[in-house]
Amino acid sequence: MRVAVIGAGVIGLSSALCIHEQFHGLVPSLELEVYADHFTPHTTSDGAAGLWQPYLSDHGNLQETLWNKETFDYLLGHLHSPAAKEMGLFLISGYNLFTEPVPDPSWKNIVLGFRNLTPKELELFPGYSYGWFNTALMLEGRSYLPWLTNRLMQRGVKFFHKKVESFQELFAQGVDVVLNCSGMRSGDLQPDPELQPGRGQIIKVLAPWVKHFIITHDLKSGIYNSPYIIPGSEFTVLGGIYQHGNWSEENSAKDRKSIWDSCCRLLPPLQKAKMVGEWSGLRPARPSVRLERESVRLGNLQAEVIHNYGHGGFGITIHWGCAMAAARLFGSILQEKKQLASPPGPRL
Amino acid sequence: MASPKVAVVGAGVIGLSTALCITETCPSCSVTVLSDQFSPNTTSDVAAGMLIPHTYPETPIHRQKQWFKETFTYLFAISNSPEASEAGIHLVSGWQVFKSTPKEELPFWSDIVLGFRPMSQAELRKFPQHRFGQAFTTLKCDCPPYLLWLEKRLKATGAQMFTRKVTDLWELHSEYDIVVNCAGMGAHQLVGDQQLFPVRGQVLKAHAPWVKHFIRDGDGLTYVYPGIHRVTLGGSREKGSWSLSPDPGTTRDIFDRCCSLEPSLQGAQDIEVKVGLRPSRQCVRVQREVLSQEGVKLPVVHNYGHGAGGFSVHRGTASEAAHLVGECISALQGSSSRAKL
Repeated sequence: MRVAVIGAGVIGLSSALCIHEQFHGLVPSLELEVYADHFTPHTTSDGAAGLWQPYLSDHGNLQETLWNKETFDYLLGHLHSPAAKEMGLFLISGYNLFTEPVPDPSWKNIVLGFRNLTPKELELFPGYSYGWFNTALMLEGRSYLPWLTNRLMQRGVKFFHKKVESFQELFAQGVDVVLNCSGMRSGDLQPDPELQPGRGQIIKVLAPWVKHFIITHDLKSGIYNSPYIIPGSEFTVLGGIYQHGNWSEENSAKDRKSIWDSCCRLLPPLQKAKMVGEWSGLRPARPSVRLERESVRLGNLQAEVIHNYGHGGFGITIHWGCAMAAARLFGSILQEKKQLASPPGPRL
Repeated sequence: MASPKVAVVGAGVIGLSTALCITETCPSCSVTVLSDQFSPNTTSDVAAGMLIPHTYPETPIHRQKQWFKETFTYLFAISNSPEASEAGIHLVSGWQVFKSTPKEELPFWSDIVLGFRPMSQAELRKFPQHRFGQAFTTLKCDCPPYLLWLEKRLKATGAQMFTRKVTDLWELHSEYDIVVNCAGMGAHQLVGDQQLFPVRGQVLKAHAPWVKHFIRDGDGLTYVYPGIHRVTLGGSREKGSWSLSPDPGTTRDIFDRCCSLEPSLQGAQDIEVKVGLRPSRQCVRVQREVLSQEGVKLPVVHNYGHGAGGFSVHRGTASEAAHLVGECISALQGSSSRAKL
């Protein structure tokens, strides 16, 4: 049973790990391979600050809220394990700021200690009249992806540095199931007009006195188009850019200035922070995550694709819930192929 | 008296902040700071500088609250200004956890810190040995940055600073009109205060930049305080011990206790051990006194004995001491003075 995962960002690697953990014992013939043209530290997941926080509204998509919760609970369970530091996992608290009262988010009971801001706290943020305080998690891609890679390599999963041009290419080699975790470039494998880039740009600064995340919201300009400050373990990320439909991965001077000016207004001490890098990336935005099976006919063979892409700006936030769901889909494929609870038989 | 000459003895957080307050309330004063130690070698440099008040048994609570409020307000303003990083002042959130529910669930300072509330059950799960907790956001003054910033502000006013060990306040009477005693633990020798006693504290300073919250055990003995570059892990409270040498057994014990509060500290690097003597007293001595010797008078203002709570009340006691200096000046100028508490 050969399974190929396309994509080595947080979605691809975690889906691979989840499937291997659950099925390698049950399916002795399971061979897992990861194909990607970019590996850490060059994936979209590496550029993200790594804060666990869903969007403000789930638009009634309860499935995604559940996957977010599964991810949070899974990570919280690992917080005290010796692996936490290596995973890039730690607790962080902070502020979400608004210019007007808003309904509580779908995730208010998932995070810890969710509450409204007091008037004295709001004094810190002139121009904002309402907000939340809560404790959430950071999962830094720069650490998490290598950690996932190590776990996978220990399990004998093979990695291939190549750009897969089509699903057929893999099926022709004898792959039985493809996990499509190709993020922004899924459209190259199978057209999907619903998948669009949500371009982001960030500035990395040294500001080790900042211990809280601060995320502002401008309901008119939309998610992530308002300044945010997220302190990591080595540097602090300043951001506030979301450009729908913009495919450019070049850093824009105009965006840099906008981020810098708006973040320094938000947190005046940042004026003394030293800039140490910047990065642009494309959030693989979609009205909802595409997480589903697709059967592909190849002559008289039936091949299976499990799609798991379109996680926008909340990939890290939702990744484990999606990995588990992808594993469940894989399980149902195994059932149908009667691969479960049966001895290794002739290859399909 | 055109330009009263004021000597401030001591260059820890109390001496420097008191000197600065004096330059603010009495711009015509000439202020000189004298100390045998300056940052980074003061007791203040060992402390984490967290704004979580210590309760003095014999100081009225309303006075402690006033001191804390004034200090918090002063630092809050700096924390949100471009000077914050240079001054070493930043906000930090976290938890105070108790193994058994405390008698007093609402400390006197709960409405001064930000967002004070009891911890939820979900939050307490992170601390399996603890039953009750409080979550809040407060301020931290990192040293040396804060002390160096105070020194810089002082120099800008024209105040002078000299390394000098003062063994007797009378040494100063010919050069200075008023002496302000902020000698901390040094006041034991300097003014023979038998009510002042050391409480030895050992701490570790470690590199663990993923720790973004403070955690304090309500017993005050174990704490994790993340600063700008290092996390302070504590601690110990040895009443009557004058030893400034780090004790390896205590180091191991502190590390173990902190790791049980925050397991990720197992991965902490570059651990440095420091020791300080908390200048402890049943009440902080903020008081005027006129010393008299062979017909010569020397006005003295005392501001020492802050024990474990120096940073939390420093600005409040500094401004009270500066006010007392003002009274000394008025008295010297022959105006009537009001008896102060």
